[in-house]
Amino acid sequence: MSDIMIDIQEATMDFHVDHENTNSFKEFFVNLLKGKLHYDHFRAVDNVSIRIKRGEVCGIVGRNGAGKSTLLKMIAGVLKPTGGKIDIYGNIAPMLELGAGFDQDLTARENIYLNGAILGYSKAFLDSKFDDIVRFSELERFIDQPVRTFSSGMMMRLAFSIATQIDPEILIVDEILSVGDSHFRQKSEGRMREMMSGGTTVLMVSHVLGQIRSMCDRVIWLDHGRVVMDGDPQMVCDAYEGLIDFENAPQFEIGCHKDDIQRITMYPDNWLPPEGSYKIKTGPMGLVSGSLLCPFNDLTGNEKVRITLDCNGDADPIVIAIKEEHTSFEIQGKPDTIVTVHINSNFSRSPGNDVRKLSVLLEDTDGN
Amino acid sequence: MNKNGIAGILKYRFLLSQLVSRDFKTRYKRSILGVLWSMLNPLLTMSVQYIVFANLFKWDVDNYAVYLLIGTVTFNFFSEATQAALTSITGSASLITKVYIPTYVFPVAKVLSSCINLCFSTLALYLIIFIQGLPLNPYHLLIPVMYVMLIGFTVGIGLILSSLMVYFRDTQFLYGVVIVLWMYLTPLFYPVDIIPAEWMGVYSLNPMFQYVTFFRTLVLEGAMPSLQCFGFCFGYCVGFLLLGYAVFRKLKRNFILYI
Repeated sequence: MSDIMIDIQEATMDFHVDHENTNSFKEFFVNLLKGKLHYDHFRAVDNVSIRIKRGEVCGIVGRNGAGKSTLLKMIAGVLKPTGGKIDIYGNIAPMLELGAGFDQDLTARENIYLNGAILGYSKAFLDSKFDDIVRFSELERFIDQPVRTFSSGMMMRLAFSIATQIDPEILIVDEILSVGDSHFRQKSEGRMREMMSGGTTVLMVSHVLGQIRSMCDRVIWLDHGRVVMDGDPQMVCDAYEGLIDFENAPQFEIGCHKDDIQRITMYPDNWLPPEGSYKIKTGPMGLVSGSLLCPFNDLTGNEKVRITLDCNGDADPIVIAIKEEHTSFEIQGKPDTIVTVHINSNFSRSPGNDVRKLSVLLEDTDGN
Repeated sequence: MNKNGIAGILKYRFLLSQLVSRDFKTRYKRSILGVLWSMLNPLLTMSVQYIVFANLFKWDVDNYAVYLLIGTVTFNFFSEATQAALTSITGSASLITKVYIPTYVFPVAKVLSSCINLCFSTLALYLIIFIQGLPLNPYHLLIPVMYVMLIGFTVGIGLILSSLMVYFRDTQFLYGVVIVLWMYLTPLFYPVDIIPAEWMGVYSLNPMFQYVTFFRTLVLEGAMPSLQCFGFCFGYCVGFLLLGYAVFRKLKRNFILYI
């Protein structure tokens, strides 16, 4: 449990969308009387559950409007989830927006203190790091000029160097590495790597997939506020970029109760299928059910999946032969207990085909 | 509950000081007289009022200049602080949606900025007291006490107004009208004795009436304000601080959706 740094449990974020614009007292009462005082909800983040462990560098990808920034703001505490909850176990440094609160009339020196205060730094801290900030931003000559006179690149450099002075336990980065010229981007990437190498847990959003692929251990793909895919960076990035046919990738659903289905996606990969053992807490009926979707049209009938449910030593294996696209199973275990599900399959394809052996990924329900 | 608020203010004191400092620096940045305006403004207002009301209406009030100036200094602080606090949250919308900042910091910072102005205005007041030859007395030491109570009251009102403004953008205009009416309902430039006796009950409920009376009793009469006056001043301070805190806490949940 102490290994989990960020615990997002079914977090949801609903925004109001006004039908009528009710911005003033008069409009409020008029609409109240007319009965038009209702709002549509826009669900930016929909029932997202993610657990991030200590030291993980986790990337988030998705189209514009998928809910990435909203999710980051919820984790950073800027937004409160309208449903579910988010627990953070460590001090968190959000780098969501550079230069928040920069006042154009103040000098760079004054803005360092103002921006630092807004980010939560203390005066003593800022005093000690002041020279480092100035040096990293390469703005020594302009430190007492009003920020109004700076170019946008200079402002970015200043903001970035203020924001990266800390060594937090959890770092959240929202697309800020995608700005600046190449010299600055190298510098900023270098600084980020420095921060990450100290075992910091990192959550980053970026559209620059090259950065995501090279810097992350785990990638989550968000779409329309939901987690679509969660796992190996190369895999998820490939799927996101459309390099693998995600729609047709085999899906394995496993759950305890019909209202509690967890989706595991099986990714095609080149390697031997791992022994999969997963812990699940069964529901009040003790059922573990699942289905295997396998849209291949050249099944030989020799493809088998072996599932064993292990509750305190009694292991009742069932073996499923996959003959059709859709196969489901159900195993009875003890109600309300933690059981271990072992999954092996003998799926394989001859080399040269784009679908190879299957592996299974499952999220722990209990964090054990 | 209230402890949280005070502890919070102490915790964010560096941020508060930075916000106040920013306001102060940018306020008079490009003006000629700069900080002197804080002193000149009340003096000029008082002079005009004196000329108009003492000469035209010929109201007979002892030490009329000081009487006027006390009212001006006190009410101007209240009016300026509350109006600045009112727009403080909507004005910082860009900050709140990006960084985690406890939102009450904004109205409090505005009130504190006005306090700096209040200090300069008080200097102007003492200048006139000195010119008029009014004797100083030990009761002047209670002026800071009165200021603290006034500031508390102002913060409470500021919290309420700033949170209402997020939901209803015409709060600004409504309050603009309210503050003008409030000014007329407080005996700032007319003597208290022209108020008919039947109205005195209602008049005493006006918090600004109590604060101004408190101040005037200390300076003009050189005496301790009545227990009733003290009670009103203290009560309004604590009452509105608590009310402001409660209203703010309730409304701030959904700020982010309306900002």
